[in-house]
Parts: sequence; structure tokens; C-alpha cells
Amino acid sequence: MKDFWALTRAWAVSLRRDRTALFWSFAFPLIFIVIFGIAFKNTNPTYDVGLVLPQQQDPTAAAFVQGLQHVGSFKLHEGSESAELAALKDGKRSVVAVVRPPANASASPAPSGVAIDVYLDPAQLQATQVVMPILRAVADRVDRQVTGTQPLVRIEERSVRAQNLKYIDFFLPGMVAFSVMQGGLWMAVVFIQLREGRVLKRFGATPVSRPVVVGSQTLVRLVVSIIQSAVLVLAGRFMFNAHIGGNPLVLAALIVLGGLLFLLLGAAISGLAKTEEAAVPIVNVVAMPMMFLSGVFWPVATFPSFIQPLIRVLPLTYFGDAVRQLMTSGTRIAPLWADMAVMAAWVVVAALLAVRFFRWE
Amino acid sequence: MATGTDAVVTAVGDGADTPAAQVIDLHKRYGSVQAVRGISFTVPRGTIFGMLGPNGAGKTTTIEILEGLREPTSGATYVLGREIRRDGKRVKDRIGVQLQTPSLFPQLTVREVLHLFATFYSRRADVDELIGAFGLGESAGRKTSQLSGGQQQRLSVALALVNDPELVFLDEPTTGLDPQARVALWDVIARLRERGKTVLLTTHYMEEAERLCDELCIIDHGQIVAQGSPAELIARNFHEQAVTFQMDPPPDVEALRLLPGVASVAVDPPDVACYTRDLTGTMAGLLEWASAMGRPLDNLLVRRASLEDVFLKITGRRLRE
Repeated sequence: MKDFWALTRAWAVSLRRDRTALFWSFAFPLIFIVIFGIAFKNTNPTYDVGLVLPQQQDPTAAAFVQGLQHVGSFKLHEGSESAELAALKDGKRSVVAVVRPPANASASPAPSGVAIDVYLDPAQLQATQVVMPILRAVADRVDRQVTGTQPLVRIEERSVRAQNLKYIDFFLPGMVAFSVMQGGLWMAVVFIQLREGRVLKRFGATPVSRPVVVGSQTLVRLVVSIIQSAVLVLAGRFMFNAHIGGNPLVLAALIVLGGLLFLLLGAAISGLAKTEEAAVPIVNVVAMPMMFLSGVFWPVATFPSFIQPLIRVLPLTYFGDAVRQLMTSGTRIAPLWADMAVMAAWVVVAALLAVRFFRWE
Repeated sequence: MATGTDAVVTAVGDGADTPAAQVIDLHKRYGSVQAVRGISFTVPRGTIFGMLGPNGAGKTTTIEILEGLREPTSGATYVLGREIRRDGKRVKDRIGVQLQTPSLFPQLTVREVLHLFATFYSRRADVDELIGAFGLGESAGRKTSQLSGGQQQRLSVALALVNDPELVFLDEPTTGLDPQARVALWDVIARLRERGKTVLLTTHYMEEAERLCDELCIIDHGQIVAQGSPAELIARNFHEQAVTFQMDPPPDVEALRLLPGVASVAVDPPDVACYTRDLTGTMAGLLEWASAMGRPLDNLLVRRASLEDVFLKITGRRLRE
């Protein structure tokens, strides 16, 4: 047991002094979180709305403009019709609303009706879908004010905020699982270094047993995965106010299960490649589909149905789903126990692959 | 290194009547390549036993089978009276192994690596003493990745001694060392024998083999082609002195063989060696022949026959560094 702890300490000290390893283990996933966190932090996206108003003051038009000014996510730009339409074509406006005065504006003392033409850019479909209902609602409110009915607007802004809050909460657990996967798969390179540098062979000439060598290395890597996950979760919590829930011990257990799974796959890959360089494409071939298909960045439901069977096979799908439903009570693919069962099955498969392909020299 | 008396007592107390290592009709095949073809030898306790041979001769394969790192195709090996395949852990606890492992824990310091390996064994040498003996005092606190090639080499030999072993395997221990460091390491190895240890080493260097080894086997193409002490090997093969010079293109061997007193001629361009029992006659004839041919005798030298000559005679090749 003494040799186990001495070796564990040696691996840990080595890792702590290895800046490259530290970067990939901690800084890199953290950078990912920060970039995505900032990119989607904007809970109130603004939309540029072009306004073309009639020459003369018109109370109805004024009420409409005032209504628009209350919409926080609208940035209003007033200008001539030609200038605003040009801006729309350049993509500088989401929509342009042209308020046309009534034909008999001059004489009438009563509030006049105005016509509003809204110009859209089909390329900005998403923005249009958000802006149009708000424009309608504002127009409706102006109508109701004039006719003395109670106003009833406010729905749209809320839905916009809810959407964005969900993304960080969605992304953070996926990133935790993804980082653990990366840590495990890239161990293939470390195993190759130990093999080709004849470190494993050197241990073979000492009384130290192979389980001690592998076990100590595994322990260090799993602890690193847990620390790495904690750093990511805390960064998400304190930098981006992500929603964090669930029992940390269950989360740690999940990370151990997932870490073991991908560590074993990394060990199997190390046996398939003769050199570090040869291992890189193999790791990428394994990691890339999971990175994009397993619901780390986007919900798996967004993929077409013919890819779904593949998604349902990938281990990261279940790992990510398990971490996500533990941390946030959002949508899920399967119950937690089912996720863990699939992961356990994958651990067995990965262990068989590792036993089959791992080489000591 | 622990105290000498300690080591001797252990060696005597534990099967000292058995040889330190014994190899019987060892064969090793890699696919279609026969790396080792029927090697047998015995290493007596307290001696330095050398395996001399060119690259690919089967030295490393043989030593790694003895160390328990490879499985033989057939044949038997006994280390400290035991079969390493059956008694691996027990045997490995009492042997020291040096391998060429440049990237062993690059982030750890010399002292840390030595202490780490010391924890693997039931017996431990004094790490600080080892550091001193190998001239690693100044670099003891440096990361091993920052060591020079020579320092790493010395560390790899020091690691073979962390358990104060009874039998030490050294695979080309002085390769890559500068001459000064090489001589210093020879002293360390010679001292191991003084303290009753057994050393089995492979080497490329004739001088190393001649100076250190009590017993030597020359290995070529997976077989032992000659065995004995360095002095025996020389005496058995040569009663002559060697007259050597360089000539390019090489001269007609037959013409040299006809010179007075010449017993044999070996040519490994541009080196030419004439082995003679009549130095005066040979020299006179050689000078006359050279001036008649109009060819200069570069680097003309007369010396006693050496291990190098034995190797050249037996294998038909020189053993270059």
C-alpha cells in the first residue's frame, strides 16, 4: 500500500508541476465556460427598430412612439424612410416601422387613426418573430388607451429572458461532462508517453505490481476530474449566476463513473496508436461526434430523427444528461438511474476494450 | 548505498551457493526473427560479468529476459537461484535494473525519483549517499527533465542501486557519458564488486569490458561466439603483437600475409592490422613493401593484441562506439 500512495503522490506532484497539463485540465474548460457564458449572458438582447414618423405632430403616433420607448429590448432609430430602409437592407435594423399620417389629418380634432407599415428582413427571421408581436402589442395598447380599455401587454420580454437563463443552465452541466470526457480520452497520450518512454517497463523491473501503477494513476485522474468539475461549477455559479442544484456527493459519484468510463476508453486508444501523434486523430474521431451530438451545446432534440439512434448510443449523451438533471431540474432524456445504468454498461464495454488493446510495451 | 558488511551478510545468508544468474539454452524469437539462439552462461556471485556485442546481437533481449521483462521462447533462466517468472516479486525486490528511460518522471527532482523508487523495495540504500556517489549532488534538487544526458544516465544507474541489490543489471551503463564521467562510473561499478555484489552488464566499449569484467561473453547473431576472462580471450586468440595502420583504398591482403613473421591480417577499411610474432622482420618487410608500392602508412602503431582485436578476429567486424 505504501508504494501505491508514494506513486499516487508522484503522479500528483508531476501533474501539479506540468503547466501544459494544468492548462488543458483547468484553464481550457474554464475559458470555454467564460466565452459561452459571456456570449449568452445577455439576458436582454436589444433589437434595432427603425422609425419613420410623419412630418406633423400626431398624438396617436406620439403615443405609439412612447409605447415603444418602454420596451427595454428595443433600440429606436428615427430617420427618413429611405435612410431607414437602407439601414434595414444593411442589416442594421431588425424591422422598420413607417408611421403614415391619416389622409385628412389637418382638420380633425379627434384622435386620428394612423397606418403603420412594418418592413421586415426575411434573413432576420428570429428577430422578426420576437419584434413583431411586441409591435402589435404596443399598437394594441395605444388603441386601448385611446378607447379607454385596460392595457394587457408584457408577455414578450419575459419569454426572452427565460430562454437565456436556460442556456447557461443547460450548457454548464454539459460542459462538466464534456471536460471529464476530454480528460479521460486524452489520457491515451499520457499512456503512450509512459509506454514509449519505457516508464511502464521500468516499473516492470521493480516489485511494484501493475494494478498499483494503473490504480494510482487512475485515482489521481479521477480526483483531477472532480476538482475540474468543481471549478467549472463554481465559475458558472459566481460568474454567470448559473442555477446549481443537486447533491454534490451524487455529482462526484457521477464524475467518477464517467471519468472511469472515458479513462478506460483512453487506455484502449493508447494501445491502438504507436505514437502520440497517431493517437490524436483517433481521440478526435471518438470525441468529435460526442462533442456535437451528445447535447453538450444544443439539446439533442434539435437533431433530425435519423441521427437519434446514434445519439442514443453515445455514452456522453447519458453522462451529460445525468449531470444536467442532477444540477438543474430541466428537461431530461432518461431518468437518472437509467442514465447511470447505461454508463455502467459502457464502463464494462470500455474495460473490455482496454483489456483487449492496452499495451505495456 | 547501505553498509558493505550488511550486504555481504545477506548474500551469504540467502542461497549464496547458487550462482547469481544462470541461463540455459535460451531462445527468443520475434515473429520470424531469431533474436537469441541458444545462449547459456553462468554468472558467479561477486563477479562482474559482461556481454559484449554489436547492436542487435541479442544482448538486451537476453538481459531483459533475466530481468523478467520478457518471456523466453524456450530455455531456462535462474536469478538468485529462482525462476523470475514464478517468483517475480521476490526476485525483483533483490535485483537492481538500469534501463534507458530518459523521460522517467520529468517533473520530479532527482532526489524525489530516488526516494520514490526506494519505497518500492523492502531494502533501501541511503539516497543521499547514492547522490554523492554518482556526482549528482548539485542537481539533486533539479527536475530530471533539466538534467544533461550524462546526468540522466548516472541517475538511471543510481536508480538500479536504490534497493542495495545483490545482483545489478546494467544495460550499456556508460553510453553517452563523457570520458571523465565514464571513469567515475567504472569506479562505482568496481566498488560494487568489492562489496560482494554481482554485476551483469552489456557494453559497446572494449575498454570498459577489459577494465571491469571478470568474465566476458562475446555475442553475435544471437549466439555466444567466445567466452572467458578478457586476458584469456586475448591469450587464446593471439600470441602476437599487432601492427596497425590506415590505408585507403585497402592494400592487397595476400601481399601483407607474405611479409616475414605475419600470422594473420585483418582489414576493416581504412584500418589494417597485421598480427606478428616477429616484430622486427615484419616491420622491415612492411616498410620495404610500402616504399616499393609508393603508399604511405598512416598512423602506424605497434601494440599488444587487445579485446578489440579478438572481436575483430571472431566476428569479422569492429565494434564501433
